Amino acid sequence: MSRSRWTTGVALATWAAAFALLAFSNNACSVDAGAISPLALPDKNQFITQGVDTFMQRRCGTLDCHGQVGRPLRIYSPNGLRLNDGPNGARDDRGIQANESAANYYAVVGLEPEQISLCLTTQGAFTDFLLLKKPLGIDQGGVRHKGGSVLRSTDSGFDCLLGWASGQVDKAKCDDAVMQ
Amino acid sequence: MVMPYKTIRRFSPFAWAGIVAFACTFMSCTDPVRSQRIAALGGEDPAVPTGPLHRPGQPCVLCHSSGGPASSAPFAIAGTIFETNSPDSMGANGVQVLFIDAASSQRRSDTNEVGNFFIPESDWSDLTFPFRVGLLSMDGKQVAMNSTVNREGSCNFCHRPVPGSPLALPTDDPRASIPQVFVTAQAAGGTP
Repeated sequence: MSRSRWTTGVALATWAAAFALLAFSNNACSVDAGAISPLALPDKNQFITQGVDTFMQRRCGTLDCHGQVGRPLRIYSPNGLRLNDGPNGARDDRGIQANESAANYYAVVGLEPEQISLCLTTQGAFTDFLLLKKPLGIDQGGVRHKGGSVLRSTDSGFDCLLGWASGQVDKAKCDDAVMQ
Repeated sequence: MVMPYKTIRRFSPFAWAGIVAFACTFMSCTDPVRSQRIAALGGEDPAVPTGPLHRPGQPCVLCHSSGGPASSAPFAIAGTIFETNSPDSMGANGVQVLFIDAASSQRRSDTNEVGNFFIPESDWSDLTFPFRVGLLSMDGKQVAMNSTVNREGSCNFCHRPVPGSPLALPTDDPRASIPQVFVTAQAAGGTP
């Protein structure tokens, strides 16, 4: 075989390998959209209107805790971190805005979507997830929380979170928790 | 290049101590985030001696804590109260700042001439977060902070001097801070 024919053969083999790799990649990455079932998540509207959002703004969203850009479970609130700028770069002094409440909801359900979904579908039988275990802290039977133990399982705030996550939100509990 | 074993053995204990000290100083024993935040506060006002009257409006515990440049006088809680919410407001003198922590332990600190107050760490070494705060001014005005303080001992970490104040810092972010606490206005103000 001459040198030029050998070179051409190598080039063709390289192209063939590249096409094969591309085809393999496309097949590997293709997703059957019909096979995906969306997660059932606790209701966004209830989160906003039944006092869950207000409770979390007040108790979790202070500027020294979850009202910080760099912290997981970021919570926006009128008295903490704002999502929007005010006029001329000043602080936004309006009440809570729709995009802030929506961001709070997505932060909460995005923490452990599969787990909180399980709580909803089992109507509260499953409670082994961070939204409920973190605020308890280790000494209350939860998990390590940098902010320590901030709720007890008998507190109305705990009932507020569990009620909403299990699809049985109790606005009175949430309102009570805001006032504590 | 690998250092021969015999050469290493010849190092005296003092040399080893020097190497460790060098590595500690320049590689691991500093907190660059904290250092940047302290640098952003700027230098001392030459007209004010270092002490209880210096740096009103700044996050005191940033320096007054373990590892900080003022670690010899650590604070549990410290901050500044202003007379009004105006950029040219003076500090509020004689305001009683009352605290109650998660263990129901209580402390009180009074503001000085520039509005500063502080509780030395030695006076509340078992402070249990979160804690609540209330203010009582000399003319009887009361302010209760709506939310709890969950982690931060520097009140001015969140409560920043209002824009336009000579005490405001270029690094202040209006979205991530709330205005200065003031108490002698007609109603309670600056409450989070």
